[in-house]
Amino acid sequence: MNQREKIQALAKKKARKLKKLKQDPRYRKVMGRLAHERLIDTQVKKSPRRFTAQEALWVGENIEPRVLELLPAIVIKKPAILMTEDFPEDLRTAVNSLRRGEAKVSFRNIPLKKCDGWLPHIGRKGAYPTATKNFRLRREDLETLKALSQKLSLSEAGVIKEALKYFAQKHGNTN
Amino acid sequence: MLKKIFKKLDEWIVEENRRALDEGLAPIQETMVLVIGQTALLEADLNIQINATMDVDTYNELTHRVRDKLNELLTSIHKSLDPEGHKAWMPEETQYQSIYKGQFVDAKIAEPVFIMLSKAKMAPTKNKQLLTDYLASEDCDDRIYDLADKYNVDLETIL
Repeated sequence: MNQREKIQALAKKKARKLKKLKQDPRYRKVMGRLAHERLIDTQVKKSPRRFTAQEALWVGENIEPRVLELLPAIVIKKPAILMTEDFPEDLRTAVNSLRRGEAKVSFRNIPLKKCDGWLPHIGRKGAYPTATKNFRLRREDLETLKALSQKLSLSEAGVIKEALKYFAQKHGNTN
Repeated sequence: MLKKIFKKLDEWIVEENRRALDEGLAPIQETMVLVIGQTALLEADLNIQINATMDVDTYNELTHRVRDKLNELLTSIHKSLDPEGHKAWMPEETQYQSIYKGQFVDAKIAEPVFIMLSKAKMAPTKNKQLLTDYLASEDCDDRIYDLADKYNVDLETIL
C-alpha cells in the first residue's frame, strides 16, 4: 500500500466514525438550532429546539469546531438559545474576556479574536455587548449625577455615556 | 444562491455607471470577485456535508463601494463579507471556476481541492473533520496529494 492509498484508507475509516457521530441527537439538535438562527449553513434540518452549552461543546470538540467559534458570542448575545447557564470555567473566562473587549487568549484552541468577530452578527445586529464597570464616587459626585439625570431625562449610565461622547469629541476620539 | 447576489451587484453597477456618465463622474470598473472558503465549497455542490458560518471570504480586495454594496446584498441572505477574507492563504496554482459573468462583475469560486489544501495547511485542527470527509469521498481530487507534498502538508497526521 503506497502513501496515497494509506491516507485514503485512513480517511475512509475516520469518515465512517464521523458519520456515526453525526447521527448523535446532540449534533442534530445543536446544528439544527444554529441553522434555524441562520448562524450556520448546513444540510442538517432546522430546529427551534434549545440546547445546552455542554451539548454545543461536545459537537464543537468532536464534529464541528465552528460551533466553538460561535458559542461564547451566543452566551453573551443570545443566551435564550441555551437551556442552562451552567457553563464550564473556560467558557465563562472566554465570555468575560469578550465582554471586556479582550480577545488575546483562546478558547479550546479557537482564538478569541475569531469568537469576537461573531458578536455583531448574533442577537441585535451590529451591536457589541455592554460591560459592567465599577467606580467609587464621592457624595457630591453622586448628587451631581442624580441631578443631571433628572435634568436631562437620562439614566445615570446615560449621563456618563453622554459625558464620554462630549469628551471624546472635544479631545478627538481615542478609539 | 451567490449567483443571484452577483447578478444584483452587476445590475447595481450598470445603474451606478449610467448615473456617473450623466453626472460626469468616474464609473465603477469591471470587478472580479474570487470567492474562497466554506462558501465556495457550498457553491461547488460537493457530495460531502459542508457546514459553514455565514461569513463570505473573497480572495481579492474589492473597492469600498463594491464591497459595501456586496455586503448589503449578502445581508439579504443572512451572510456578510469577512473583512479579513483577502488575507487568507491560497496555493499559487489555485484555479477558479466561473459562477457568474455579467457586464461588470466576473465572479468565480476557487476549486475545492485548493480550498482543502489551504485549510489543511493553515487550520488543520478546525478542518480535520471536513478534510476527513473530503479525502474519503468521491469528490476528492487527486491533485491534493501533490499539493500536500509541495506545501509540506502531512495529511496523515491531520487525520
